[in-house]
Amino acid sequence: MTTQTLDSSRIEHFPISFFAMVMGMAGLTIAWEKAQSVLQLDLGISPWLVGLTTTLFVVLAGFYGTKLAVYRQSVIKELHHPIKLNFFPTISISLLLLAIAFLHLVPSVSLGLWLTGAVLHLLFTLYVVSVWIHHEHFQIHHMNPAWFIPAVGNVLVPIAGVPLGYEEVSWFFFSVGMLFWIVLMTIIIYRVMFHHPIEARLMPTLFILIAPPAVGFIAYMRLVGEIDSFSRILYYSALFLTLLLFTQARRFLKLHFFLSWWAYSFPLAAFSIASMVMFERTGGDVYRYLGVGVLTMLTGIVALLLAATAVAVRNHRICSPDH
Amino acid sequence: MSDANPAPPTQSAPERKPESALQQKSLLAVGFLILMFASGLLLVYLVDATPPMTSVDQEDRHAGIATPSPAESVAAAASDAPSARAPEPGSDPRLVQETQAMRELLAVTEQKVQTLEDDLKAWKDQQAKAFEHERQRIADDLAAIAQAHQRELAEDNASAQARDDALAQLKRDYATLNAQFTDDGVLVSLTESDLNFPMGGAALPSERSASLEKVAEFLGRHPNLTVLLQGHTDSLGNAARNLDLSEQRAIAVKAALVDLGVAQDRIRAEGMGETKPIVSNDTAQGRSRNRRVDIYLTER
Repeated sequence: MTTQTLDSSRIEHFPISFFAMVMGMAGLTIAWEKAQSVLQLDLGISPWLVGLTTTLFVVLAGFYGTKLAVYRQSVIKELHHPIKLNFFPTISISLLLLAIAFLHLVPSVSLGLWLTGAVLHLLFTLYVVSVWIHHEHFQIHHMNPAWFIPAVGNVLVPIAGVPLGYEEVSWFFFSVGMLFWIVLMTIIIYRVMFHHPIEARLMPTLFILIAPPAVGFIAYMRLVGEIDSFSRILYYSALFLTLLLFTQARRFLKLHFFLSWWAYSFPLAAFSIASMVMFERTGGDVYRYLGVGVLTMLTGIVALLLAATAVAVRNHRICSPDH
Repeated sequence: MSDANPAPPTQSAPERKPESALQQKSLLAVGFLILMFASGLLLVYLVDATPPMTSVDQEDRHAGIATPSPAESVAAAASDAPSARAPEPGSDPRLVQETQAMRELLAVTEQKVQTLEDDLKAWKDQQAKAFEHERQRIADDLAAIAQAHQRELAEDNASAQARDDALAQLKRDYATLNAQFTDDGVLVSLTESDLNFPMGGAALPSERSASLEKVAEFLGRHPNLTVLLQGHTDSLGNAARNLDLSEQRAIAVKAALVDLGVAQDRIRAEGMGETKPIVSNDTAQGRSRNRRVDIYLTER
């Protein structure tokens, strides 16, 4: 196998789920921005994290763009795959997250990212939902937490959307996200309880369950501005799901590394930020400790994920036909 | 994690590994996660603790707190001292005298201050009164001006109305006289049939001409108008004789108007003879129309 054919075939099998990395990195970046403001501390890391995340996004977008240009067929195959399909909105989610990260650094860039991300995400959501409706091949075991990804993206829109001045549009996306959260949560619990267990490779995606209520809480605070009953319901749902998943930690840790492990990162970042927002609104010190604690833990996890990803790429265990 | 595991990426692979190694690895990971979480808690705790600590370490801080407290008490005692010494000046007679003098001075000064304050108050009152008076005067003046202006406006309106009425009346009256507007003034032409002069004569018949009565009545209503009477003849006969005849006829009309109550000085009469025919003298009808007295009305 020459380098040429190796490289080209690897591009062909470059998975869309790589963009979950950007989600994780962006979540980490935003969480650290938040932590520094909550702790009134300037560690000087925000520009570095933003730069790293942006670079990562640009590089991944470059690879995937090449794949789209050269191996259109395999992109279409991914678009029809019952699971991989749900990872396409990670592109628009990455844009929305970058918009949040850039909000205080370069507002004009933030606006551009947000508009692109929101429009793209609406299109992805419409596409994904219409595939769900007009499917031909979905079985109950295809249902997995990755299906939440399009829903989560909708809930993300208000976080940058409200400060940028698009309040009603933000309410629209928030409502869509909440609607699908409730619907999908019901289905996933049903599947997990009564059908085949989720396959090992996708186990980490269970963490995505944390994201809708956690992100929903942050978005709701942007939209409404003060703690009320619904915001508490969102936050404590997120807290419960976080606790639930941490009690399963041993099971997760026995798993073999897959790119889907990045699914741990973003929901934890969301929960960390939600806790810090809760601290800001209520003044309860517990939330601050919890938020920062989860954040440093997440930092450790992301460091491990980066290392594991690098090793996996080097060993050709990602971008192979099987993955 | 994965890097420690060289096995191919199938799900059964990790299960084939010895259970103890896997156990150890997951314990290690749990430990790592707990450590990372704890470091976050520590970070918050340290950040909370930092502001009061500054750069000095704990012991220095203790010393720093310990020293100021006695120093503060000394300072407090020092500040108390003068006030404690004040109530005991009774012993020295010179001091008593000075105190007495000071008290008197104080009393005088207080008196002066009181006077000045009273003066100031009186001055303030006076100023306020003067100001109020002036304000009232200006307000009255303004009201008067406004009223006068209002009145003037009303008068202007009334006179304008009157003028308009008069003009309208004049126009109506002119219309009843069949008047024409010419460059020389308003022209009312009295024809042969209106006046009935005898052939070649200048004496008006004894019964009053209705047309002349209308003119006289009109002039009575409009005293500001003056009258120019111009007599005209046809071209038959001697021109000099015709001129003379036309003048006499104009004068006769003037006399008739004066008889009807029009002031003499308002009327001027002149003869134009046969010089200003209005139509051709070739036919009898034309000549009849040329024999006439024109009345020009102009404003005085």
